[in-house]
Amino acid sequence: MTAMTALAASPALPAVEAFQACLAAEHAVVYGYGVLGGRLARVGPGSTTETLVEAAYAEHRGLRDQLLATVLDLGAEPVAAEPAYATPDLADVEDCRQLARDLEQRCAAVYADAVAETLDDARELAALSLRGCAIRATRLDAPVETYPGLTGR
Amino acid sequence: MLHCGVTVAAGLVGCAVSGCTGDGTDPAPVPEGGPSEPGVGTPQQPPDQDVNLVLSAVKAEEVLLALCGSVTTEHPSLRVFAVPLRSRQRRHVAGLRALVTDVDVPRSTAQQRSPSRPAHARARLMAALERARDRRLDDCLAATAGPLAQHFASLSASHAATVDQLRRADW
Repeated sequence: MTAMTALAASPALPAVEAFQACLAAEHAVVYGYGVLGGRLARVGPGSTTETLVEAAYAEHRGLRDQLLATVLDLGAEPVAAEPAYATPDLADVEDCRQLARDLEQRCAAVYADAVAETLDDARELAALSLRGCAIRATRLDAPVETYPGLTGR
Repeated sequence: MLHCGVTVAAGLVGCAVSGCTGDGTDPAPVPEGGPSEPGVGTPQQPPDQDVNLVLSAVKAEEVLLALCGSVTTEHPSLRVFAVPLRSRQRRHVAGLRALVTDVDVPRSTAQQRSPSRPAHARARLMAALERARDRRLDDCLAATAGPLAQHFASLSASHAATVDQLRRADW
């Protein structure tokens, strides 16, 4: 089992590697939201959190697929998902919500790195993905950050 | 202070000399075809375009800050959202100014009067935030330096999250 280190902010990388890092992050996020969906079906069925998690899961699957296509377009072999990723204990709805916020905020950092390493359409994809992470985190009750994706650096 | 990167900050300061009028008026326009080439025998400098982007963003974000202040003062019913927004906006302006610390960027004296009706004030604030969200994304795409693009993308994302939050809020 692999910890979600794919979501750690990475140093400066060439564009294709930046997108590979985004794809690796999205693999981990999609896995994380899958775990959350299963857990919330037990501890919070019908809750607002479950609805938000389902929506986020669908959005991240879309992003993952878009990144796969982008990496292929760049002539590289897309990084594969790990078989599994470590997740924290999820005792209740608030634990689930906290993990979802963490996923969004850590994913935002990876997209922020990609913005710095790309140009034009690729940069726009990274910037809009960063924006999406910031919005989803806020919907999960995270405070609006002054610098999404850059906090704590 | 935001970490847009020492190299970028230093570069922005260095190229500001040729990119700014220096008298407090609007930054000089960027020539068609992009930034100028560095002169022969001189150290390579980042393009003027990035400096102009920062200076114009400072100006625009200060106008938004003034509007936040006006809404906060004139509409107590909107303070629950306007006060944290104003604080965040102050940090945005400070972060942009920190990128051009050696350039004399005059403080905006623009007064922003808020509409008298709270609903209208709210609508105006939302429109201003949406405009800032879109402009900072444009700045991100136009920036030459990667770390500066990152800074603008983050600002745009912050504005976008605020817009989304306010749109969902019952205020």
